[in-house]
Amino acid sequence: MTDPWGDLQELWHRDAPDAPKLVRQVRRLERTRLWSRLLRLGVVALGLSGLAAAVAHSVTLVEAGAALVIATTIVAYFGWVTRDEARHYEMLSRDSTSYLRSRQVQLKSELRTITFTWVIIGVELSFFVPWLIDGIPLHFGSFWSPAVVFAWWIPLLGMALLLAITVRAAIRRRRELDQVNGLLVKEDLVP
Amino acid sequence: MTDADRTLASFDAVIEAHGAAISRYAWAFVDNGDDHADLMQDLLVALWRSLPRFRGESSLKTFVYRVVHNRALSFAARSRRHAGTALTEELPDRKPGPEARVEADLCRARLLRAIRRLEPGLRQAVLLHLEGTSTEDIAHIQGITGNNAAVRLTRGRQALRSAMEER
Repeated sequence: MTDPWGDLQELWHRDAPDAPKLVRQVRRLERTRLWSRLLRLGVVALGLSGLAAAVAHSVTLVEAGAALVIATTIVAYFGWVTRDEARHYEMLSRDSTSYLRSRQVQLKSELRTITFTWVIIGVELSFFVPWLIDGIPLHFGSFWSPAVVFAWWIPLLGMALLLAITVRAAIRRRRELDQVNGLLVKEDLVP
Repeated sequence: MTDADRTLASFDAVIEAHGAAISRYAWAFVDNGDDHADLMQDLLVALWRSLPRFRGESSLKTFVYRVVHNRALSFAARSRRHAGTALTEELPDRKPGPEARVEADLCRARLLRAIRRLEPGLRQAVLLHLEGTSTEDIAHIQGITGNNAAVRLTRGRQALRSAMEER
């Protein structure tokens, strides 16, 4: 070997994929992504329309207030996710240390939000469950009447689903955060 | 020409100019064909989504390599299987990957393994150098001084050389 580095470079450049194929691949991906964004927007629109219909139908101030809180939460969450995604793409073009630091902050914030969700679920359940256990037999006679299924079991199932999704998300984010912390330590150690 | 058309045109140009290098770069973070395809998908979408944010504060090459490296780091950190790759531990070979594709070329397989074993900072410097990037540009891409980039390169090349000499 006369020039070991030149030989390594030559070895390295032997792999040369087809550029037009890569372009076609990303076009397909972008179309899928567009559909998923439309779907997300559709879900938000559907949620808000449902709430608006319920509010138009409701007569009490409490119900209107609850609907307003839920609508605000949906819009705020959608805004947060969109902004977070935009920020992520913004940070991608920074140097690795800046990117990893911003990712660390982002992951910590997501983990805090998940913990917050757990607290809300816990508080909600500790308040509602004893109250409903006493109230349902009194008002509806049975735990399995259609009204109870809609008013209690389905929301409860939704909360359980939310808990499962957030637990999975927390595990993934915790793992990524550990890796990012490790990478940052290594970035600091390397000159 | 709309913004979307401009993005489309510049994306084609970016892939034309850097597509092969991006694919090679991805091999430094994964060790089999399936994961390489997943990572490539991730990298291409990241580039596609980031490109409209390119404001010419750095060269396009710097922009592309930063996006690719950062996204690859994230991919490795997110993935349980590749957490080790990002942190430089050597992974056992699971399924045949580039080694199988270039079966005759054991040298290239050894080079890839050696690159995967490097610290992320050294790995990035070495990969950029293998792609023919100057020390000055490497320093700019990594956000470090020229001296530090030179130190990283020397260490990376030494590590590669000794790994390549191991049998």
